[in-house]
Amino acid sequence: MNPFDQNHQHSTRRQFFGRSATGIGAAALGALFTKDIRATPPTSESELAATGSESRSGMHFPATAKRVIYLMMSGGPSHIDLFDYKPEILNRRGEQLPDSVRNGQRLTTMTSRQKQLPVLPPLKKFKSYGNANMMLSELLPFTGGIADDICLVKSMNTEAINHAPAATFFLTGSQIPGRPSIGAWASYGLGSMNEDLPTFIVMNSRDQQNSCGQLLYDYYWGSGFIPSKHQGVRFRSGGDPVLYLSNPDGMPRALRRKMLDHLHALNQEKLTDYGDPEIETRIAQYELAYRMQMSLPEITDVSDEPDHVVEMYGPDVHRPGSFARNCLLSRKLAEKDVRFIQLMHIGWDQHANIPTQLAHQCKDTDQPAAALVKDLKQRGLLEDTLVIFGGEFGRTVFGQGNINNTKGYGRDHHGRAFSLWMAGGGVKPGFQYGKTCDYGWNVVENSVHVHDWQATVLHMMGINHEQLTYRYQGRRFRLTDVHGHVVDDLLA
Amino acid sequence: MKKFHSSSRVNRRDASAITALLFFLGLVFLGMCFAVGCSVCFPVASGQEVSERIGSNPANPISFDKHVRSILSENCYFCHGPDPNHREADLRLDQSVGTRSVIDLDDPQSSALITRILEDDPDLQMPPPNSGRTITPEQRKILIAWIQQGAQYEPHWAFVPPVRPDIPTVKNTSWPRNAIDHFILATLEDQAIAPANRAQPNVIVRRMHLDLIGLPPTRSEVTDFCQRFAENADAAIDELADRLLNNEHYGERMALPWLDAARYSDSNGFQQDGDRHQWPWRDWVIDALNANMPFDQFTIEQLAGDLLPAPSNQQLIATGFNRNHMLNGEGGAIPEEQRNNYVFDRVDTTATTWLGLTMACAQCHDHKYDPITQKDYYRFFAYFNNVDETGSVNRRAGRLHCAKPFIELKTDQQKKQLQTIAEKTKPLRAELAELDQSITAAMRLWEADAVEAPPEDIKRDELRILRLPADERNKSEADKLKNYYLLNFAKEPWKTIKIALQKLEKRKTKILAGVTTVMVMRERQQPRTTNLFERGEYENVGDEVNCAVPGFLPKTEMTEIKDRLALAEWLMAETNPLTARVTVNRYWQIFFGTGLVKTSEDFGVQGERPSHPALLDWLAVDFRSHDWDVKRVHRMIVTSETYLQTARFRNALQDIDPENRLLARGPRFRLPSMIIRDAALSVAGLLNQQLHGKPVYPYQPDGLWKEFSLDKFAYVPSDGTDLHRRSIYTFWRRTVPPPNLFDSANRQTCIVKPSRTNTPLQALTMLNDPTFVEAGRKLAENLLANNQITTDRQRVGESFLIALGRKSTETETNALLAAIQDSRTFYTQAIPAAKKLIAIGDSASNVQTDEQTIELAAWTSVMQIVLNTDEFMNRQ
Repeated sequence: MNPFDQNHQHSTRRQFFGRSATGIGAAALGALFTKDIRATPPTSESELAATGSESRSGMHFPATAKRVIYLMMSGGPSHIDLFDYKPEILNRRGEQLPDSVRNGQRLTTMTSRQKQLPVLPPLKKFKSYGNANMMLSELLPFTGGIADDICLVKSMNTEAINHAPAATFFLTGSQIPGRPSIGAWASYGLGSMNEDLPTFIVMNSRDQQNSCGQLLYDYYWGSGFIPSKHQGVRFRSGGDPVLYLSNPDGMPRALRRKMLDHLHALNQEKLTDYGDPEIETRIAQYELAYRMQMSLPEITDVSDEPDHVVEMYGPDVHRPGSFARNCLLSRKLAEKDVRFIQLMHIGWDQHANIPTQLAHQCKDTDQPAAALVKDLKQRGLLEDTLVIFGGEFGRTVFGQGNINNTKGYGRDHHGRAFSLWMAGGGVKPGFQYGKTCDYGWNVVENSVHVHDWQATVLHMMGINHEQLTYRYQGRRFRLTDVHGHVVDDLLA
Repeated sequence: MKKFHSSSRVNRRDASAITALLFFLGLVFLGMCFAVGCSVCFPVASGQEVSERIGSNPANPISFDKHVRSILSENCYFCHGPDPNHREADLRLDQSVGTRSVIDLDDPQSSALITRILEDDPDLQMPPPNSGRTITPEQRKILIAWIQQGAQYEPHWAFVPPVRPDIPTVKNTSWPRNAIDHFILATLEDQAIAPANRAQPNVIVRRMHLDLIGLPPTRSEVTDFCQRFAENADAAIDELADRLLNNEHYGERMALPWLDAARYSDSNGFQQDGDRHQWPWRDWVIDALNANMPFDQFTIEQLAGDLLPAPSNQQLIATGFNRNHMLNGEGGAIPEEQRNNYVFDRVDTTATTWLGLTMACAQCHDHKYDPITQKDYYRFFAYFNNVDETGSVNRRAGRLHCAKPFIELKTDQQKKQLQTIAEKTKPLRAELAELDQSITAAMRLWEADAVEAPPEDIKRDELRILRLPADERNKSEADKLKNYYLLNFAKEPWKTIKIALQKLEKRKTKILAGVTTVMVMRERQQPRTTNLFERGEYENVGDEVNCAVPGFLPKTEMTEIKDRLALAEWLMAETNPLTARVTVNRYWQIFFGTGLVKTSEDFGVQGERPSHPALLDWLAVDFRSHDWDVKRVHRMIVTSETYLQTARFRNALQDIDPENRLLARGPRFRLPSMIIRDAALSVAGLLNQQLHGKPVYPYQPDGLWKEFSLDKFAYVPSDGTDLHRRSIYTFWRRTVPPPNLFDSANRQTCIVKPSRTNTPLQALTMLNDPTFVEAGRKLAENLLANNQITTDRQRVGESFLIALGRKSTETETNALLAAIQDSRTFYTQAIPAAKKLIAIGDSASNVQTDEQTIELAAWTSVMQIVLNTDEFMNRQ
């Protein structure tokens, strides 16, 4: 039974608890503690503390990651060029990818008719970084600087080969849209840790050149069939950070306050007459809306940040809507205990002109992502905040187009093997995991399928991925479908 | 027999009694061997009911279907269920064989099934303490009693065809107005609960208006009804129902849940998310509902209208139902993969909408709970696998637009324009054709020069053709070069003729680009074979299968025919246990917020049992036996005393029936956001009530589409009264749905159960969206323009009558009087602010003086309060 089914809205907390004996699951109890569903604001500090600590401790076991910041690199960053060092192919430029490696696996229709599949070695040199001796492309000097904080997984894999299905798979566990996204699951399972901000916040940015953009769909942060209150709230880069946040022109906050008080008098009268607890919830939600009108503009204003902190994120931080600015904002949101923060950055889909585009893209993302990790660390937040950096798949080791025409070639989508890094929140720092073949094409050791990765992330949040379920159409759905294993080796 | 399809089909509709009998026996057998899946907690009320009435008295008969299955599935199947990857101790409790192995009929208390549950040792206790599942003492009693009574299995209720139950007798014979009330009251009397009083007439009229036409009553409609109600309440209620059922807005209201089920949208979804033209299908639905098209015809035309003899355009448009799915034209997408995805979608949508079954589970493996095999799935899939489609998306004017098959609906004007163009084109073409020899000869001379010194602005391709020897050019190359020559270098009048022709061609292309295209169903000439896909993967082809209905459901003579029309007819067959139940349940959900079966999307064994099984069956049989008359069911519901009860919560019942499943009061729930918007426009006098037509573009925050669309689509708001059409006509973009229509179904996949959440973002929308600010202003303007009322108190009272259909209480009046004072005081000091507030929205306001500005702004803010009351957003 799902705790938030429409009719349950008519139940009081007491009834919820009473019902737990008849089979309500742990999910329901966890979600009960979400602050934003309570009918009335907490009456005392102690109540707040009590519910807060309950939600912080994780759902099924103690959480190592109270918050998650997911830097979703939309388009498919080239693991071959950035993360997965393959000295074996350095001298094989132009050689055909052996059939024994490809093994009949399907290609997208963009290269399935390409007659040649010439090996294209990494575009730039790799260097060893940190005490961990992590080999990373010199396109990523700042990431190299945090090598001892990150856990690099080189054996990620997915079945999907096109963007929308692959991203949907990463974010919802299914290639077909319609299921709850990972942040929505976190909100549903763990609830909110703060009073004035949404539980799940999304910020999007794109490459400055706008050269190979993918579209971002709202189901990437949607709630699917679980109640829509759990869907991600997308911050916009221009205008109101949240739609309809500002009062109408000519309606100042002071007058709005008075009008809301009168509105509450009317709703209270109705509540007394009808006794519907949903009216009580509505009164509380109007109050929260009023508080959000203050808290959201505050959180998106970076003018109080000291210069040395702002500068860490690189020059692009001064441009609202940039990935760098969003990284800085996500640190502020983490400080405010927003549970799940999802940054999506467009522009990794380099089918053509990869030499130029990849360099631009790294410039846009390398410094801000590394700065975020450092900034969290210097504030003591990294230990219980998980930062994730990765795309929906990687790219082919073979070149797409004519590899002798610098402006003309790129790489196609590749899901059989790719890389992703994580930091903080209970992952092993300075650690590399998984191995691919000499061509970076197939995983040969310690495979981490997308469902495994999802199970592991939930685990760090204190959630057993098999037990966080929602009943819909007669089935208990979960993020990992019927798959997924926690990869213990990744945990500190 | 039926007016809409050929007599050759008619004999197929006679269901054989033998088939039905065989089917029933089969079901009993199935019940035996499936012992069946699954779960479902009891609703709280019935859970308690069970413990009180049965668990505590083992002499009461225990039904496997009603009492036992849910306990086993919820607590045991996780480890002892159908999933072989998760099974412990090689024990399956989802099959009778396994269950029998842990049952001792002679000594129920010693059955392993019971002893392991009673076990204190945590290592032996079942379910294990760390599983988070517990079997309550009441449930244990039920299990023991069930074994004592012989541990009989039963088929799942929803898979047994409904038989019309007797209408129960009740003690309070004066209460019921119709059969529904007998069923509801009988259950209440069983529990010694009296029904609630009838709601006040002003509440009834508002409720029925919102439920049946999705618009609140006008002030005079409320007054008229209350007056008639005072004279003759029963007549007033029946007349109101009849009037609303015949109102043209009924079809718009009832289309809303159907559009959600049909995942209707004005765009394709996925990359680019280009526009499509399925709105004629939406209009077809509105018209069919208004015309009270029988539900079997409604079904057959939508699922298989193309297979009816000589289908009309309207019948073809109806089949758009199963072309409303998303289309993926993403770069790199593999057409065959996409095409299979569309067929999967049709299977899921059709199964959920008509059968209440979650077929999708069986795409990859046999269903874990319901007796649907993977083979059943692909046999069902085969019905939808023969559409003449490729999986690719066609472009129009550079945008991904629609996928074949589609029909073009030219307007009379377009037809006329095209005809005019054709008439003008014909003589010009003839003239050029006549001159062709001379033209070719002249062109050859030109070519000779041009090869030597090519024209400066010649395009690359034309130059290439020019350089080819004339006899090596194919036809299209030759034509291309000739066109180029004629347009640029030919002598008069050739050049003029060609230019005229080219202009006509361009006009024709432009007109054709504006023609509405509706995607429809059409079968391929050469049938596709269908194969089972291992693990649901389209590349992983298994055994070939042919069309067939799921094996556990009754077959009829129709199912011998392997096409969609036969499938549609089978759905409506008398022996089909699901269609009628599933459909009346969704109707119930419209009026009571929750279906008699709460899981309206799932009637399988994992679904919830009906709160009133006999009522559901009675309604289902009644619906079918009255020629699937939809309005008849709706009328019966809204004229029932059950529906007419007050929605006030009853303290005494809060613990017994917190979800109001017993219906000892009227239901109270928030309106769909589309109807809230319509209601706001309506009470403000802004609503443009026009029916039908192309989608419109009401207010939306700037730049919202741009962020999502690679700059290819700009949202251009509509003009004038198109800003104020009903929400059903708002352009629905799948990747960026209208932001103020919160909690709407996503229109990506089939949704049959509404979402009703209560969030701060909704509060912000209601307070700050210009739609609602403008509605508040117009409401204020109308109050201020009314010469009959001159005092603040009168205006407050009037606003309540208009917006909520009732008088305000003293407390409410005082609150709003205080509000107008606060607001007036503020705006008197802040005239620029007042001007800004009343400038919101495109509609004009007629204020001249500062005083008028202050008054209008002040009243606007107060009317915003009224539109933001919980009551305004609710139907109660």
